[in-house]
Amino acid sequence: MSDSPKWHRYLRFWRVNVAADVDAEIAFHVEARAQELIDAGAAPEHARRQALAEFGDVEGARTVLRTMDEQHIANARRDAAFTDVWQDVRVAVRSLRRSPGFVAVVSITLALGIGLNSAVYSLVDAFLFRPMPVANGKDLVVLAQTEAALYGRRAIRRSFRHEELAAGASVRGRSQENDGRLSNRLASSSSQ
Amino acid sequence: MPSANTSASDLDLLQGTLEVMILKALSWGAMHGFGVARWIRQTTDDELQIEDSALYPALHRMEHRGLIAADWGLTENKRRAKYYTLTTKGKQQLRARVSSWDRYSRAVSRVIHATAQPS
Repeated sequence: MSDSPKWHRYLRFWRVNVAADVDAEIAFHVEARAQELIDAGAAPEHARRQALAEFGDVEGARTVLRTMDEQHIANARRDAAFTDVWQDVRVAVRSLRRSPGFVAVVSITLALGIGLNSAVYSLVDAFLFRPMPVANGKDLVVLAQTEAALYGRRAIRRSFRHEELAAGASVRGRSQENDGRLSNRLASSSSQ
Repeated sequence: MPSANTSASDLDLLQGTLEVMILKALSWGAMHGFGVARWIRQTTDDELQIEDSALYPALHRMEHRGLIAADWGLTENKRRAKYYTLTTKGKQQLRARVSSWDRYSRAVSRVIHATAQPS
């Protein structure tokens, strides 16, 4: 029944105090009706009881009103959030429209970047990750020879020349791993 | 219109007309819930007993639908009360509801006071 302190209204900046507002509204009504009955000559305690009785289901009304208002505030907040996002999108579109050169540069950069990336990865996929597209591609080997002594410390691997192959260079060993990857498709063979 | 006090069977009719009565009450200016209840009570000479616990949900529903706006203010006795005012949408709604109510009640009235019996 009491007026809430003045500072309570500052709560509204952060959060509408639904419960307190509903209580205050109902309390004011009952009080005003009681006062009206007193002015008409009723005894104060009797007036208050009659005002409450006339109001009906106070607790029920209180619950209904709180639920309604809270639901409404939740909906309003959600709508406001959606409106904010929509406004941002519109501002973005409008400002982009004002600088078409920038939009063109960004679009071309993105297009080239994405295009180049997918091209490179298509090549890598085709050459390195998949078996060669020939019959029994998994069983292909690369023939090479290692020349350890000729050029200093490091062993050099080199392919056979045509003549050597034609002469029938003998294959002495072959990698056991043969899972289809290029790096493993090496078989070594000693030269001469 | 009913000449006896409303009974339970009139409740549906009353629910439908409660909103238009609220709109009419507020057409005079800002009013708190108690003022609306008192105005309806006095205007109908107590023939329509509107439960206050039904009035307030109607007020809040109408506020949420944008028919009326609410704000806290002070009464003449410096009491804090929630005042309701009609919005533009509420004024349009009042005009529309009054004209359809007039047509409806005239039609019903012609039927229930008919003197020509069915052929």
